[in-house]
Amino acid sequence: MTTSIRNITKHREQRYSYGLTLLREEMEKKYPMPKEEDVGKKVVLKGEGINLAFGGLQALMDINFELKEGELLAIIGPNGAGKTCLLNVVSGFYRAQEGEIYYRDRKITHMSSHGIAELGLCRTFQNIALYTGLTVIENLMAARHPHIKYNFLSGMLYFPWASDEEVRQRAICEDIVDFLEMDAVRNHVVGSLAYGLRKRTELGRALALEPRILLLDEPMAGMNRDEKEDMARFILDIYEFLKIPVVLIEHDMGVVMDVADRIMVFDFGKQIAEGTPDEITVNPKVISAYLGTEYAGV
Amino acid sequence: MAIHRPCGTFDRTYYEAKAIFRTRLQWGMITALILALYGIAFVMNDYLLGLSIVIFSFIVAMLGIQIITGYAGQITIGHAAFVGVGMYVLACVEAHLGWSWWVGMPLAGIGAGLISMFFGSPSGRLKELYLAFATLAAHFIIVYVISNWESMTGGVDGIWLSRPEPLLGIDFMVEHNYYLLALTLCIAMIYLAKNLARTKLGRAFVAVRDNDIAAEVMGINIFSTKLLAFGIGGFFAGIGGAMYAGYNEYVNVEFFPLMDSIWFLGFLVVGGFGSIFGAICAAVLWKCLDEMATLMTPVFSQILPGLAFYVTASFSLIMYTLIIVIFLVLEPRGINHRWNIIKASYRLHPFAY
Ligand SMILES: Nc1ncnc2c1ncn2[C@@H]1O[C@H](COP(=O)(O)OP(=O)(O)O)[C@@H](O)[C@H]1O
Ligand SMILES: [Mg+2]
Repeated sequence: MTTSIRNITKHREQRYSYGLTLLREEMEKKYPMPKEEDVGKKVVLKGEGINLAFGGLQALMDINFELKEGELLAIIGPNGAGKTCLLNVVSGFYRAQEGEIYYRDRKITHMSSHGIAELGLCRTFQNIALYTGLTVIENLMAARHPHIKYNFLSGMLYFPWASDEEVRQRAICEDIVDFLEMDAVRNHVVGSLAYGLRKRTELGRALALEPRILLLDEPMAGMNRDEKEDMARFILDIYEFLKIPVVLIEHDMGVVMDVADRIMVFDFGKQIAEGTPDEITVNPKVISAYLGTEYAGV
Repeated sequence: MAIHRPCGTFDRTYYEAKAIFRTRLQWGMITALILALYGIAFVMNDYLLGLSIVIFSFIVAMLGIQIITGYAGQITIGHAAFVGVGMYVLACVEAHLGWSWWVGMPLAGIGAGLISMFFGSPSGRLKELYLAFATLAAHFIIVYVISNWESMTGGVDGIWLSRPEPLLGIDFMVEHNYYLLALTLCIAMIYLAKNLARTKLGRAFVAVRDNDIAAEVMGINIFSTKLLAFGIGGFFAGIGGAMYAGYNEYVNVEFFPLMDSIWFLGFLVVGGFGSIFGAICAAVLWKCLDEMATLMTPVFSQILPGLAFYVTASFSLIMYTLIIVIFLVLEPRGINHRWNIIKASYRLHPFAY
């Protein structure tokens, strides 16, 4: 069985008729969809000379990267290479000692994490970081936080407009739940869900935050082939339907080679290669990082 | 575990999905309960009315700590002092400005909320045990200020204050009228707390409690959320304090000993973190045990003449501690969780799952 995920995802029916439509409408109200001519050209996220060290350990060494409109960028590299660190720096959770990050020409290096999230840089976590005490639907609702407009006093008094807004937001979240095919568990407390479903809830939570760039940290780690295919399908659907660029950190080469437009390879905090999937597969530096120098033919 | 509903209950709109009471039976039962609570005011004697008023005040105060600690996950060992601030704000407003209880009560809530926010501000940097110690300091500072700022608070002598002015011809010097007022306030505060829990800010509280790092990265400003938790929790504490002080018509620093701050936290465990129902149960259980300990005094003096004083003093301590330990061991998720299990098994009967 070597059918590639791309084959499955390529021939899948267009399932835009349901799921995510409310979310997309909501997003279109706030900003226009990217223009056709910008896709693949306009830079939406840029890192310049990022250096991050923990004491003596240099986790990121002079990293430069660019993410363009409508692009699916994969970041690969052995464990401990610094991929998660890069995402943490982008989302403002770690502060790089040197370097700047720009989001659509806006410098976000020193912004607070929640401010960055409100701009639309939404991420998932490698080690699932859900709100364990809440149900699936409540987790998504919690992520709608910056987009819910009534203040807490109208919430406490439960004024009609607060109630209506709750219901409107709830509909958006239910839409996402439908899209992720999690209808059956929407009212389950996430702490009790199976691993694969929790990963999916993470994706849903990032969606509920209205991503303009989606940052996914190993969304398929520890999954079996079926679950990986589902996840790949969700990611591609989101990517195509919401027309947002996606950064995907993933170890499964099959998936990465199939779905990515461009791949960046990290090793020991350094960026050792960058290019299209075809270029990466034959890059001797990448082969030596993964398989050892004797296989690289250098 | 999924959240079980009575069989055959389906939501057709999201309004229904968000309702506090979903079925006719639930509505019927809660209406009956509330009517009964109003009705028994006219048959209870003054002693029972007094006990109920104390319970209502403590329910409101307990909701406050439930918001701070149970929902937002910020441990506080200064809650009794925040209740005390409420009492003293009311007393000072009445004594120095001559304003009535009706103005003083909301001011008590706001004052306690602000003080609580101030002492909760270390939560921006501190967590868990360290925050517990920072808020413990709040208790000592507040008690110290109150006992030494004599021109304002009357020092250790305390302050006399008066009950609410008559409203619509209802005289609150009459015990059962004050009971009705306290009950109404208590129901209103429970409703506010319940709404808080099911809307935007309540979810943000739980998000901060369950995973503060994720919350921050998911667009929630955790520092202001924590401060709001302290503010709102303190507001509830202040209102509870005003209800209690208004009933007693007198306050002094003995009304909110340090032990109360600890019992607030301890009984919150018994009631169950993160549930309004749990907070209500906790307050009721606490004050009933308290009363029981007082009632036991004459009994002890019969059985153990001479020792009765020491025995009663330690009796309530031992009983509280025992209850908390039993819950920690057998049902760490509190009465609320046990109650949910009972409801679920009733609904699922005769099946196990
Ligand atoms: N908070 C931290 N403190 C110290 N070292 C860290 C911290 N976070 C990550 N590191 C180190 O940085 C390196 C890169 O980690 P990470 O980005 O998680 O790797 P991966 O590429 O597998 O995601 C590892 O050596 C890790 O031990
Ligand atoms: Mg990682």
